[in-house]
Amino acid sequence: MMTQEKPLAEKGNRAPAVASRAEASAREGAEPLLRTCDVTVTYDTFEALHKTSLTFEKGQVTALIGPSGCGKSTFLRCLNLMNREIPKCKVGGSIDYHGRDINTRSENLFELRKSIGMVFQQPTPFRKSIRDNILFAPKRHGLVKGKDECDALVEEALRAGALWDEVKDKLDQSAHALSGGQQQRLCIARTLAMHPDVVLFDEPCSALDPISTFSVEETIREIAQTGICAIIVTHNMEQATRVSDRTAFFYVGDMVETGPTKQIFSAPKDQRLQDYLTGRFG
Amino acid sequence: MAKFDMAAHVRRINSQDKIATGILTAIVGLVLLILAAIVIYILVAGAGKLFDVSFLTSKPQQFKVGGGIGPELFNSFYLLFLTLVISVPLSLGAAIYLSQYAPENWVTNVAKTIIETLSSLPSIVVGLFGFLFFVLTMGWGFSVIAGAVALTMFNIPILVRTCQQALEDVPRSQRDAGLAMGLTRWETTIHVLLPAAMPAIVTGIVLSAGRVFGEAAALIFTAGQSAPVLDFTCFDLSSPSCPWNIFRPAETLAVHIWKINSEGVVPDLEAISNGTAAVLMVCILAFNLIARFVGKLLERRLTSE
Repeated sequence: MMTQEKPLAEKGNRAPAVASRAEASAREGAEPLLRTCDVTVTYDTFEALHKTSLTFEKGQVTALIGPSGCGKSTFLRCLNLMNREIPKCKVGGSIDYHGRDINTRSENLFELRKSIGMVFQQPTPFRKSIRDNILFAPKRHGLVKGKDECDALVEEALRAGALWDEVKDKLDQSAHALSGGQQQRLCIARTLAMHPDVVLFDEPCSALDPISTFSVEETIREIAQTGICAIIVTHNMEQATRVSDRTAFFYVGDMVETGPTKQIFSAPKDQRLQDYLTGRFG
Repeated sequence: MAKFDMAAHVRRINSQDKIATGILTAIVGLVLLILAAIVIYILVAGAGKLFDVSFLTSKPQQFKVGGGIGPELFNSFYLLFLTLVISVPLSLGAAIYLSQYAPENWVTNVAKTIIETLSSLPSIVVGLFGFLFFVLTMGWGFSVIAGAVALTMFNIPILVRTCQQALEDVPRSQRDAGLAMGLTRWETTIHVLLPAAMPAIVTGIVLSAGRVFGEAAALIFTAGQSAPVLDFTCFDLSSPSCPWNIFRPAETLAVHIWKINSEGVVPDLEAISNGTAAVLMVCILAFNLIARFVGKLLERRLTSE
């Protein structure tokens, strides 16, 4: 379950906290796939994200909502350590993934990002053919060998990204010739080709028209049904209600409220969330 | 306060727009006129020699009518080739470092300032430095290699700038997408950014080739002002008549124009320098057309088809 954790500091040191967390999940019967504990993000001296603790389960879609600049994308970029690519950006706290803290210097970024994929706001197909867009990273990682394996992976990934029927006859054409919605689904397919168990979506539909948005949302629901944990940042509250099981609301660097999506939208507790939902700001 | 008169306002901004368009058109027209006049003058003056095969292939004469520019033509291309072989990898490496790896600190800022300063360095200064250092200190003498290295110094700043710009013009999201798939920075740069930047890089290289091809001042004291007769059947790399010998002096087309005009005694001096200028200009024109064509071709191959 996704619950707001008590700050670690209250529990004294780290070790007992980990132990009690293990007990807690033992009671619930399952270890959460991904859990952040008091994650903070600092740019130079400015703290863009205050202590944020969230838990993400397999097969669940979680929406992160909030007004611009509230820290939701910043938080998302912590989860695959993409914030490390920004100079002077520091991430504090711990991020437990499969039971180990990944927010450490010794974490292998390249291995990690194979299993935590990310889809960006703008479709980012590489200047390669559709086939090579899918195969590029798996080949570099040595995941596939030989033509048969490659062809199988291309078809599997494109089917998972709900793009196969539209492009199966033009796999060797440039990905840039596809429409915006198709490009975005290609990016999703490309991510799925590495068999991740978490996929992060950073406003994946904000550059798309309504029909493409619908197909991308459907794709997100479908991949969640295969057991993938999907986390989606969105500006669009209808999208959050359509696509997510759980929602977390961010406001000025704070994770204000979290819960099942229905509850967040029908019975918001925090005043700021109520104001946001009724359109008083944001 | 006077009532705002919409009709008068629209009339005023419309006439302003017309005047501005008229002035800008006139300026562009003037610039084009000047350029076209120069190009046409050079082509017409050199037309007689431009299509004369013996002029393009035979060796120059010291005192008699009828000398050609064969060795100079070859030297120009050979020097250009060597210059690009040295300067392209260096510039590309520097551009990749500056655009992808360099941390924002004083060292890289100093490097960027130095590159910008070098790019506006007068080429005669590069030439004299080359003379003192490569020709005298290193003991290479007036030679192809001294010229090529001087031209490299002259070419690198521009090439670094163009390559860096081309790499930075690739959307940041492409790099992030590569990194988010667990690729290293190097893999992302080589397999994602470089192909995307390739059309702009190729265009930049070919355009810089035009600049290098027409350069004279940097070569006068490095590659020298004499063109030994070349024997294309000779592959003895130490022989001065071997075309591929990098330690022989090599006068280029641009240097040839400068030399015969300043100290030439041939009777048909004017016809030769006009012809050489026309050949030089046609070559540079060809570089520009090739740059555009190759750039478009790569662009099309990498995007739509």
